[in-house]
Amino acid sequence: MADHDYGYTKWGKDWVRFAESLRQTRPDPQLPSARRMARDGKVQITFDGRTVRAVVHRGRGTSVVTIEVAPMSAGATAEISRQLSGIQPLLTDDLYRAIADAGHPPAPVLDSVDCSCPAATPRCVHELAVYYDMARRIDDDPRIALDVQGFFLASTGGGQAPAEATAQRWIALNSLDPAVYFTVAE
Amino acid sequence: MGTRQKLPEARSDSQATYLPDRHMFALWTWADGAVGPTPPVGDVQTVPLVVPTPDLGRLKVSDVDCVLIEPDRLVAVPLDSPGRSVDVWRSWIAGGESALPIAAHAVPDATGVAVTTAEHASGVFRRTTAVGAEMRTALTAKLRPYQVRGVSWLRETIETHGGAVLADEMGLGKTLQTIGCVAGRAEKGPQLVVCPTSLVGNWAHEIARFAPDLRATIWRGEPLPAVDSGTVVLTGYPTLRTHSPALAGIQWSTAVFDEAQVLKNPRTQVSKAARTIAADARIALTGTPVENHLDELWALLNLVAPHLFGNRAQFRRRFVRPIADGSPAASARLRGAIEPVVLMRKKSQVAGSLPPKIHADLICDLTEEQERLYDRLLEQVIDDGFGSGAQRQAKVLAVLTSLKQVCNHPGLITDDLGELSGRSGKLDLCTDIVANNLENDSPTLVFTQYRQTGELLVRHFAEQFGVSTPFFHGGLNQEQRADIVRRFQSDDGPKVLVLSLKAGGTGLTLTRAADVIHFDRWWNPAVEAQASDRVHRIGQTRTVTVTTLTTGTTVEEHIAAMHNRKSALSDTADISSVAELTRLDDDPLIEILRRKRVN
Repeated sequence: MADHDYGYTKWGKDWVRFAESLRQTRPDPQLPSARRMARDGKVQITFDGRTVRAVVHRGRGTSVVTIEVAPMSAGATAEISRQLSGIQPLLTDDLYRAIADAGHPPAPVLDSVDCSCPAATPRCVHELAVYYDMARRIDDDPRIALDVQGFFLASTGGGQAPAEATAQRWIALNSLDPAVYFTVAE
Repeated sequence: MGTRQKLPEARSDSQATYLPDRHMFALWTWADGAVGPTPPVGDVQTVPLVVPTPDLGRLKVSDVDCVLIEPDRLVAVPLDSPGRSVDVWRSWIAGGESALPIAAHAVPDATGVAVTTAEHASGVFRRTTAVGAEMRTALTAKLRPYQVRGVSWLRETIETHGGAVLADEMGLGKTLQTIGCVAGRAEKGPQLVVCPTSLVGNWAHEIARFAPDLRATIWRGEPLPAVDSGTVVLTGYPTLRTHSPALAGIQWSTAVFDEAQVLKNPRTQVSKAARTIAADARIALTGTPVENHLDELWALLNLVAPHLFGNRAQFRRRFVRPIADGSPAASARLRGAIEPVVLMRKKSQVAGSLPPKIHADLICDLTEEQERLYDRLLEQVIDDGFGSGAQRQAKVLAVLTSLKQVCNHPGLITDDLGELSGRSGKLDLCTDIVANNLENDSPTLVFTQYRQTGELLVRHFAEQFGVSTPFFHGGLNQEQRADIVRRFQSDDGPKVLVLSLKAGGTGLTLTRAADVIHFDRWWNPAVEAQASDRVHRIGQTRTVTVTTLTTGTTVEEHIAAMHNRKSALSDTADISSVAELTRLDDDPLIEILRRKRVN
């Protein structure tokens, strides 16, 4: 592991693992250039719920990578909510370990991965670059790791008032209904 | 997420949004799909709020023109067609608990992706109102709304995270808010306040004044007597560094670190000593803009909440490096990440509940050198006697002058002016304040009565900060004076200006500064007030902070006490006060001049 720039938090590390699987025995020659693409800003990611869409530039070509992340299990959602109750999500490595020790590792599961490039290999360099860029973003702000698994949507009841009695500090902007901005939802 | 054609009740309604950090309401209006003109009930301020887009399909963060008012005023303030948010908050103030519309709690987080929840807003409002009622009996001072919130915030944060950083701008009353919190925790066990040595006396003074039920004792390293609930031990950082083993084995309910930027380097002995203090809650106070010094910020966060900010390398990679590279997203992320444990308010944000002028009267301590010199001078006077008649008046005046100069700096009497720092508690404190103002880009005026003291200040500021400080005094001609004023008023003018109280006290307009320090005390408060008015006059748009430095236990305290007794004196008062002293017999006179020993 020559390059520790990606995945220096446990939350980011999960995404590095998609590129550098522990089961991998031979070095993958595509990894250095995937890391370089992520570092040089060749990957532009947008989120739509649990869908990660990335435009990846390489040379003169552009590919679009679409990754669907599976929703977090109910058990993990409940465990994380319990650990975070009442406070703003401060996702430290300690918290990660606590959640994993409780039997609900928060590592994401990918439902599907698709790239528009014509490469015949099972994993293309664009896809790998997206994993690294996700790791970089999550290292910066681990909340993304939960967001992309639908955690915040699930825990705020999809736009309704939070289910739990504990006073939550923040509610996601896009889970509020502008129609009841001035009035109270019935 | 359904979008309706038209929002009901959306025609030019007044809205009230609760700002939890300030315990104030932002009043604004909404007319025909946009933010309208502010209600005409106060000065306009811009506050970021979450509002609907013109097509009402989405919510977004935007800067809204608001008028900020305190909760007491919301009930009576005249508003045209108050919207639901106003009605609901008015009912909360009356003790009701109706559901809040989004407009009532539309405060965004630092990254602009989340909104304060209704539960949080109403919870903060309810708890802060309760704390306000409690503080009215616990403290002898009346807290402003944002200060009440400071106390309730300290409590909540200590409960959730075990520690808190209160980083309000200087002059907003961090000490008072902390005393409010400490008073509420007195039952839980002994408490400890560590501050710069020059401020220990000030803490003792403020605790005695605001929370007389607390027992404050100053600890200078002697064997510590048994401490129990209700006791607050005050000590300086140097004592902590050299005598920290004496504190081992004591479980404090609260440990307060004032001017906590002292602990910025975690490897120093004093930082290590601070970390070994066993406390249920740790409070760090700082007035320097923490966001400008991220490594220092990490040290403070690590001190008060090590479980949240344990990993320095991670903090550096996540925030320090990207912010140094100029990433605005990283700054917003940082603000979001520290928000749970750092409360940081600026004077401009709470201006609505501030008077146009804040007075900060600080008590500084004498160093040992000053104590020795002060006592020696007085011994000599007692031996020589004051004489009688006209000679007596001259002699009294001379003695007063030299004692006051010892308070300013011992070198002014001994002529040993080599190294200046560390020898005068007052000069060190003044230097701290000026350093803070330089950080904040707030120009400062420093007034003194003595030409020599002024020159010493100019030299000290040059040595400490590398700034060239003009000195406005009576020896300058008209042209030189006009030049100093013109240069100071220009935008890139000097950051500090030293003025002689008599020469600079009248007529000038120096409104580029909003901070005034009175380095020594003059007999007549009217003269000081007139000097302070150099900045507090037409054209001044900010809250003016007037700091007076009084050396505790000395004759300066007597002068300060006279200020309080007769706050409006005539112009001749300065003469008559000295004359009054002259008329006293030797014994009571010496009694006034002698140092009052504390403890």
